[in-house]
Order: sequence, then structure tokens, then C-alpha cells
Amino acid sequence: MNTLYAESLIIEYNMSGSGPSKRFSPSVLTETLIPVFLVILVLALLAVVILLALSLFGIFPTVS
Amino acid sequence: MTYIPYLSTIVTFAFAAAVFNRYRQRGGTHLLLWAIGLIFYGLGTLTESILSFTPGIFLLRIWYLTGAMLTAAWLGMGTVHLLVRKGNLAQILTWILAAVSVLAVILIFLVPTTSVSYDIARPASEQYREIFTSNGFRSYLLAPTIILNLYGTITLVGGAIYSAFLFWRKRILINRMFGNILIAAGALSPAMGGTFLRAGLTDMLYLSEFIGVVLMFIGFMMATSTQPEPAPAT
Repeated sequence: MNTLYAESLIIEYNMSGSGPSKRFSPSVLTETLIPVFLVILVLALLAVVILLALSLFGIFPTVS
Repeated sequence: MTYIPYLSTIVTFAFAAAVFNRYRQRGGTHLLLWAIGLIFYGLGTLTESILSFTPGIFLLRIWYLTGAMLTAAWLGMGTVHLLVRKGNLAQILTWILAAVSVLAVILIFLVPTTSVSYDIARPASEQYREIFTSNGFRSYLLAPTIILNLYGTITLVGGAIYSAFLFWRKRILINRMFGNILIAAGALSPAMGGTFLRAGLTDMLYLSEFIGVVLMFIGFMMATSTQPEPAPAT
């Protein structure tokens, strides 16, 4: 994926059809909790991907 | 727990209709592919519901095909179309996914079954490994199921986290940032349920499917809602 290209497209795509109020003011929620949520989601995704990969190679136990 | 698939089915088809409506209004291949993925999701939960009062190997095959094999990959394909617009990569991947899906349809009907009868009192997730022969399951279904789910989970969840991160970094469109976080969390829920299922925790699957579709639906509604105008400064 061309990251910069995708990034500009997402912004462009998501800005179209929205009103002028696009920016949000920083708050405890956006500055502290959201980054924590994002990290937790990344870790959960990694865990699921690793377990799926282990299942593929028969390492993760499967019920039979 | 048997009523949960009914609720999941209703929510999923309502979600699919909302996504397809948006596709009709605005176009966009990603919306069409998400709608297709949600129809697979709904067919999976619908067959779960039907299997709670009507036993049938055919239904069990449809349940496995739609719920375990196709849903995540087609939802993820929609996200790939949203994020990758350069060249023909998204189109090529879609054709590959379509070919793999056709192969999955063939494989699910080829996998041999044992003489064990389907028991409507138990969830499908608890007994499919007893009904499909062990060798048949490993030879026909295991690898394609895992590969399709790996692809779907990485693209759908990864794409939603990436989008949420972009909105957060640029401090714009808070509704879309929250919407994408909910979509990522919702998509992870059935993926984790599937992992629990492989570990023997079969009851978790239905609940995780329901939580997953509800979170994704709320996330989609949030992400597609119009932000309110700020009050003018006085």
C-alpha cells in the first residue's frame, strides 16, 4: 500500500460531504484514552493473527 | 444462548441493508463488498438459528462456508478497496478472493462427514468437528479457513485501526475516528470468538458474533454521520 497516497485519499474521501467542522479540540479522552485504545486494538490484532498463524501450522491446540 | 443468533441475524441484515443503501446513493466498490461480507455474516448467523430447530448437514456446510470462511475476507476486501486505490491491486485481490471463494464452496461440499447425527440441542460450533471427518476437515477446510480469516482480519481490523489513527493524528472528524475504533473492536470480536472456538470454548462464538456486529453497526453509523456545525463565536 502506498501509505501517503492512501492517507491523502482517506482524508479526501472522508472530508467530502462533511461540514466545515472537521477539527476537534484535544481533551483527556482524545489525548490519553484514544492512543491507549489504539495500542490495545493493535495488540489484540497481533494476538489473533499469531494464534491464527499457529493454527495453520498445527501448533495452536485445536479441538477434535 | 440459542436466541443470540436470532438477534445477530436481525442486526446483521439491517446493517447490510444500511451499507447497501449507502452504496446505492454514493457508489463505491468498498461499500458493495462490505454489504456482500455482511450478507455472508447474516447467512452464517441465520443458519445457526435454523440449526437450533432443524438438523441438517447441508445447513451445517452453509454455516461453515459463510460464517467461518467467507465473512471476514469479504469485509476485509471492502477495506482494501477503500484504502488501496493505486493501480489494479484491489481489483486483482478481489478476483483472487472470488476464485478462492468458489474453491471454498467446492471444498465445503467435498468434505466427508461421519455417521454422527446433528444434535439441535447443541450449538453448531460445538459439533461441526464431530460431523466433518477429522481427515476431511484437515485436508479440505483447515488451511483455506485460516488463510481467509488471516487476510480478512488483517485488512478489516488493520484498515480500521489505521484510519482511526490518521484521524487522531490529524485531529479531524472525531465521529469517524470513534466509528473506526468501534469497527476495529467489533471486527476483532468474532475473530477472537473463532480463536476461542478452536481452543474449545464453543459458547463464546455466538456472543462474540453478536457483540461484533453491534459494535461494527454503531461504528458504521457514527463514521457516516454528519458532524454538527460548531456554534458561531460571539
